[in-house]
Amino acid sequence: MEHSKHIWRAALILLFGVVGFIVVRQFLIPKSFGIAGHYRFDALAEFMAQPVKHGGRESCRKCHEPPYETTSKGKHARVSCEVCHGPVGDHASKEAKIAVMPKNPSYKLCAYCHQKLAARPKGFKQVSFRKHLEEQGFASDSKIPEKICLKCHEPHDPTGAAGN
Amino acid sequence: MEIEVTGYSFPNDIHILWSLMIVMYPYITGLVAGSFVVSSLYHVFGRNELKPISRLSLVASFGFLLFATLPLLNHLGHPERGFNIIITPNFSSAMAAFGVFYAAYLIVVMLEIWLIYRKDIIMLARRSRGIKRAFYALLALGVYDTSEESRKLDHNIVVVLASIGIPMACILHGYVGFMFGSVKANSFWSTPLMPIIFLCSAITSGIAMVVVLYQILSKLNGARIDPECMQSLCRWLWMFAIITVTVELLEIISLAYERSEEWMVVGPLLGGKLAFSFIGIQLVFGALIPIILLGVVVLMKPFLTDPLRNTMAFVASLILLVQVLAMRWNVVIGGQMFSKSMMGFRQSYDPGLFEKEGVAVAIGIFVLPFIFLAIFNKFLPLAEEDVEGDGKASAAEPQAARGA
Repeated sequence: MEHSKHIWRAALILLFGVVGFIVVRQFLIPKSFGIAGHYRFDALAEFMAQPVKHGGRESCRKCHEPPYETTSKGKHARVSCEVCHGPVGDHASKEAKIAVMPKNPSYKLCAYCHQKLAARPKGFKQVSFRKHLEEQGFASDSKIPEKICLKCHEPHDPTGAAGN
Repeated sequence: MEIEVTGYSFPNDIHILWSLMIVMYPYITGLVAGSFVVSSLYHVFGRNELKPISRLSLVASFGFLLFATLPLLNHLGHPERGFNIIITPNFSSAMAAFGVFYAAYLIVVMLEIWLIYRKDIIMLARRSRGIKRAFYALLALGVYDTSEESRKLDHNIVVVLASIGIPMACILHGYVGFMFGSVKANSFWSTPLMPIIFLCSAITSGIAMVVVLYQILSKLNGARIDPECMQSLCRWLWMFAIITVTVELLEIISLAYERSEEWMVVGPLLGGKLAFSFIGIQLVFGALIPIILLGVVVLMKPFLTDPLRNTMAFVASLILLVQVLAMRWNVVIGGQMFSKSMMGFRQSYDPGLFEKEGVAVAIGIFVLPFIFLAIFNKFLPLAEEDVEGDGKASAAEPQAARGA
């Protein structure tokens, strides 16, 4: 054992490391961890304490009656304003405007719901974007302009049913 | 953006979410396991001809190990949460076991490197002055014992550590294959062969990486490449390349032969969307060419000059490194290309050059282990040097004998 001094020192360092880890770990485990499962129980209360950001269609109506009416009569009647525009909480607080509501005019937003996909319900309006544009006389090999859908469709009433 | 979903895909099943980072993760982990196996061939299995690369391969394994988790941390975001896997492991997930194995394996490799370099550290501590001396003295833990007995003890412990390390390296990488193999919703991945495929290709890539590193290091040091070592590496590489390609093909052939429902989507995938990276790179360019090159090196040994052998080994190794990367791509990205409906394809995936999980970041992460190796080499030599002249066979001796 005369020549094993270095091994004992290394073993001691390793032991300190392992014990140190076990001790430090005790401090790092959140207090409420494991109360109701493999997660930090306090996280539930923290999430519940967060302010509600979405208000539903009715919360927009007071200030935005015209688009509300148009949408209510059109094909998008069952699509909440916040689906396309974003949460009302980022835009207004206590009926006062706090920030500009972002608008996304890109065809990519429309594609979320209307890109042709065989698995979607049959009655749901779907288009193959390039094919649809070709039918409208758009050159098939060119880049699709971002706001192309808005040229023909009014997003609040895409088929024009409200005006009829 | 033109969504190119074809066939019958589920509406919420059209994007490929596991990016290039998830391709890099098993690739780098594979290099860890592969390099370690090469070093163990010398330390445990007594392949003395591999002595010139025994240190290099072990340190390379350590270097890749240090950065193996970076792609995952980048992919998931919030890297600080990565420690939760060790602080509060949930053992119903295989990933929790990975945290334990990763840490344990890191310690084993570190200890092994320390014991192997201990004599060098002591020599350097004796030779240097000032801060450098303090640094080496700290590394030597203040013990300057280089007696025969202490060396023997070191050697015995290294053998034990390497013996523990082999199954750990295999588990570490087998686990990566297991992660894919246990995704039961994806029948392209969900096969018990997956860990074996990953392990074999890991060893192939590891040996190939050692061949490349050894040749570059020798070139930089102006040292001669040991022909016996290179010949042996080629033999091992040839064997593992053949086994790797065989198991990879076995999986595909059994799927095709069974004509099972998944083959209806996997077949068109491999022959269509993945034709370039699977048939072109993984099978023809990446497997056929290096296997022929290495076959020539192994079978026609008496007719080859050293430079020719080295060049052929270097080229074959580089191609095999590309082959294994292509295999990871085909499994990770290819496995996500079809919808869970098994009747349609998802949107295609092209990593951008400068996006968060793009090509530049992947290259950046992959370069880090090499930077580590270069820095390591500044402090402790990666090449096997018999500076102390302990009378044992050094890398230079067999060459001298042959030259005489």
